[in-house]
Amino acid sequence: MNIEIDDLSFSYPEVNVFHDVTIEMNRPELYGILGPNGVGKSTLIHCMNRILEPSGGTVLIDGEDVGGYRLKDLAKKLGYVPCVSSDAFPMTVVDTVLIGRHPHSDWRVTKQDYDIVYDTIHAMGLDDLAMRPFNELSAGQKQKVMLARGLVQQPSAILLDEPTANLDIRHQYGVTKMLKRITRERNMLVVMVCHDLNIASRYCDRIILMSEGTVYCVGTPQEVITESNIRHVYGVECRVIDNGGCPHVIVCDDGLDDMPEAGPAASYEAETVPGIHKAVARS
Amino acid sequence: MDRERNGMVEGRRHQRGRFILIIAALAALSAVVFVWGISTSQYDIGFLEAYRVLMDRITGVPLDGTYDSWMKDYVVVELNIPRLVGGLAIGIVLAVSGAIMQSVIKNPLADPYTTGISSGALLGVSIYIAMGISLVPGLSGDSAQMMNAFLFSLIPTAAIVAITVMKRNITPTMMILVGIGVMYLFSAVSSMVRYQADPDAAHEIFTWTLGTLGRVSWDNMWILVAVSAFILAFGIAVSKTLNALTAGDNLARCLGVNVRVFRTACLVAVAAATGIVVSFSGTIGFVGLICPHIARILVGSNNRYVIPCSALMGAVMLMFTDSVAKIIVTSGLPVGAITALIGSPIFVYLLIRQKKNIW
Repeated sequence: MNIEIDDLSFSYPEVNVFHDVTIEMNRPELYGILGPNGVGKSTLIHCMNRILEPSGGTVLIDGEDVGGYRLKDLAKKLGYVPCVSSDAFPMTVVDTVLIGRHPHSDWRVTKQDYDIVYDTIHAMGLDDLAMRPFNELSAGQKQKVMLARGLVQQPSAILLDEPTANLDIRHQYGVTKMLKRITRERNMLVVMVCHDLNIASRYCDRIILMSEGTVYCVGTPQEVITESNIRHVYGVECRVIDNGGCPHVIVCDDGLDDMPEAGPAASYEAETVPGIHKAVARS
Repeated sequence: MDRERNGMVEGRRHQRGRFILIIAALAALSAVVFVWGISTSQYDIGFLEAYRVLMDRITGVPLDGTYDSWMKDYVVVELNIPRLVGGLAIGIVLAVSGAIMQSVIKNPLADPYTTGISSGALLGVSIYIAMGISLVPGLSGDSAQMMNAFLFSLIPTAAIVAITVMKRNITPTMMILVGIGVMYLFSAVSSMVRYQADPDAAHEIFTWTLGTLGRVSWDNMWILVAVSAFILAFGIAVSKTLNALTAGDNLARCLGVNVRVFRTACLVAVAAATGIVVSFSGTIGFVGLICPHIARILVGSNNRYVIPCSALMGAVMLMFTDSVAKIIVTSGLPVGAITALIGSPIFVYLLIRQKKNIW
């Protein structure tokens, strides 16, 4: 699996969301996209899987422009797990996960489809919830079900929009750890938008840090999560300490009273910032 | 294989069996209502007598020449059977269209008329009855009225489809709002036409809005049968994609569904089917809105079960209420009113009683 983003830009009629984004992702690893609210992280993901049409530049999947794919063929390569779930007429967990098989099957649902669904639900430990309506689950369970739906799609890469939003600490770490395991076990490239610097630095193989509508830097957590980068991108003073080989961010809350203006596209993303609040420690 | 996984597989099998049983029971119920409905009328015709009359007609036994036997033969064969077939077909069309609309627009308040179909049809009927204008030259009477209703019913949907083509990022909510906008426009024109019309014409227009199965006959009921077969087949064919759509437009697109094209196709299919039905029956509300919800209470929200279950609910509901209407109302007309009269309390009761949180 190989994703090449070349000179990509996207703008709404009134605002420029991001520009000059060039990234190459070519290994079955966990990639984290980080950056302040409104910097265009979700929009970038939406341009990759054709929910939005980019204003310029290209996204190549295995050497071919995503725009040239039939939607069903693209769906077999690229999975997507949205940030929030739609609760219109919720179905049972089994039926919800089964939706993920859509690109692989015609009208009929085969025994193989069901076997893949059962195996995935089982592997994620959701057996007991299988016949429950999706809307009655907790946020963490819903997130796992949505992830299962993305996995039964059996893509070579999967894009997740804030998989840890609204989850408690245990589930934040649990879900992200699971993502990392998936990259290894299923040989899958996983890209997630994330707000928690410490979770990203703990589990991501590579981090793409975005700032002011473009890529600020790309690299391993050790390379990207530094005091100066965080000061520059988030406008937050912090200390970065070593935590068993991973950089760990401790935010100093001096100067947080005068928050900088939100970025240009802030109104398009209702984002929570669990990472920053949790890591605040008086120093 | 693990015990938990087996439990899950068993659980789903069990549920599937239960849903199929519910659908089979509804099919049996609709057969019972059909059989019962053949004998119902405001005249004194017994249950078995109705079947004797029917058998006589089929085997070609000549009538004995009395008014009584002629009348019974006419009521059973010429009135009741077409009306039952009409009720069956129209019930299926309205309920399946409602189920499709609710999923496609993602709004539990959507019904087959959401996009302004009924107001369009009413305007077509109004200008024919009050002003004698037939859109298709040379037609008169019921056929002119029905043709007007059908052609006008398509205008609001055509407007929505046109806007969808021009403005590519139209949302379902915008579709509803466009439908409502067109509806108010058409209603206003209809009101003006009716206001100018003479009292007899105004009354006739009013009667049309109540909804009736009285215009269905042996000659034209085949159109309804064909339309109901089409929309049922269409509904079953798209049920899997409708399921994908419940996860949100964005995700559906990432699963390979061209959401805009799919939504427009559903809209056009529903509009055409409902437009034909409305031209026969007038606006029968309630069935299209309520049957899909009762179906979801019974079999959950998987459209593979919701579509057939809604279809049977609609058929049972319309055949039953029309049979009741034939007994209690001398003119036998307002099936639309009686449907809501009987159906609403049952629906509210089911809604309050059910434990699942479906909406």
